[in-house]
Amino acid sequence: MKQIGMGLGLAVALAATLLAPAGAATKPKKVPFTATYSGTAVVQVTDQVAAITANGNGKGTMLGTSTITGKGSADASQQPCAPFTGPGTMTAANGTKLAFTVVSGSQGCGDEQGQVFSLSGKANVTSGAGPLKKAKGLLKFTGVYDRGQGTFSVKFTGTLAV
Amino acid sequence: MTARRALTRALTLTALAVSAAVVGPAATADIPGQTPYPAQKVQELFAAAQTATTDGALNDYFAPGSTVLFRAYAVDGKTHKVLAAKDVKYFYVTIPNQPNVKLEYDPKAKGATALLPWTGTWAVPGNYPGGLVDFKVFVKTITKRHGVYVQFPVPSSQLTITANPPAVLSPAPSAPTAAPINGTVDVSLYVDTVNGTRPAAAAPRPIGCTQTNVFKRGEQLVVRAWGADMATSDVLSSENVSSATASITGQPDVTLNWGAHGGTSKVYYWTGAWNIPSDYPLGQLNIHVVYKTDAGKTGTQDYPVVIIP
Repeated sequence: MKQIGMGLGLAVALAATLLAPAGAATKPKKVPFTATYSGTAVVQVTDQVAAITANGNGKGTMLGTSTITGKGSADASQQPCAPFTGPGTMTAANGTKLAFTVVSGSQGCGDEQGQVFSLSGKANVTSGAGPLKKAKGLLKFTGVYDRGQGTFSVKFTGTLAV
Repeated sequence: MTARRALTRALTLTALAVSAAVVGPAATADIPGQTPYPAQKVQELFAAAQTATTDGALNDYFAPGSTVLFRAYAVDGKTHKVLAAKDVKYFYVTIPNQPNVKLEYDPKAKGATALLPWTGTWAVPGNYPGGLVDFKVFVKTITKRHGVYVQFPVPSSQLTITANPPAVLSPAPSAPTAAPINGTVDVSLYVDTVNGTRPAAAAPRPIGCTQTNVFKRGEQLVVRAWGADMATSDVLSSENVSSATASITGQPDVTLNWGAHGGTSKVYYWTGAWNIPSDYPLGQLNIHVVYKTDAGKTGTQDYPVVIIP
């Protein structure tokens, strides 16, 4: 009787495995993500359109010590908060990578002197490499761009499906 | 034994001083490069205060011989309760080289509001030196929880004594703002207003960014705000807030933005500017400020201002 029960259980388990939809075994795992970077940024304004180039160093979840690069454009005609969008990448020395796009609604709000900008917005993670190859998610970011110094610092937080 | 007791007392006092109200922001800033006002976290008590004329007009420039009205409120970080008279051991203002000003609880006192019900007055001596007045407000509950309020470090909006202060517009808002429901809040807020330096349809005031709650049509009204999530003690910032708006009757919502302000030492708080239309209805209105946090909490405050021709 016990043998019949075990046999039935194995059969059910096998059937469940065979009938399971493709990919169910690799259901994305959700992981909290945090990363902070600082570095330099160059902003060139032409006809109220600001072209942004940023490069920095820092650390991130599953990335460890890594670099960040970003390019984008901002509408400098809007004050005190200039909306900006554009792509970026976080890259570790071992090749682990996270590519993202800063989405609409993100902005840099300047102080009274137009020198120190508070950065805030969201970055949509579009692809990755290494352990983050299948990473997807929407990260919140907040930070500072100091126009006079040409420096920035930024912090990303959120949850990634990996 | 006496020395040991003295040491214990000294350590206790030191611990209290360190834990009171705020934690220093500089070395522990959660967002790199940002220094939130007044600190990264509000600990035992949330405390906020304003200066006004005795009739309730928000104001920060006073002449020697005039009277400054302080009004304040505080929220217990543990119970989230807005402090009333029975909760408080002391609530007072310290002013350099002056006796302390004791604050009394009376929401109906002249110049008080339901939200800022603690008031006290300071008669500025005729010989008081001109310049910024670095006042502080201290509060302690009967449960031995402490709070301290310091001004936004923006000189033009700080209490200033001068022989020639800018004229104070009138009349001051009259109706009190609503008290928090049930006397407790999940999100504590402080809201005030200053005159913007770039009015679209009115002459700029002699000094920009001074505290006022009476505006002329065409002027630029700037809402300033800060707050804290009372569950986490975190000061509200772009990191934990999903939206912050100021609603004004008949106008599009004004978005409050998190940003740097001040002179050489910047602090971060929330601001939003509203250019008052030249035909905006005259009289008093309530600016309805709403914060929504990423954690799903909501904080609101109705802030009264008066629009004059």
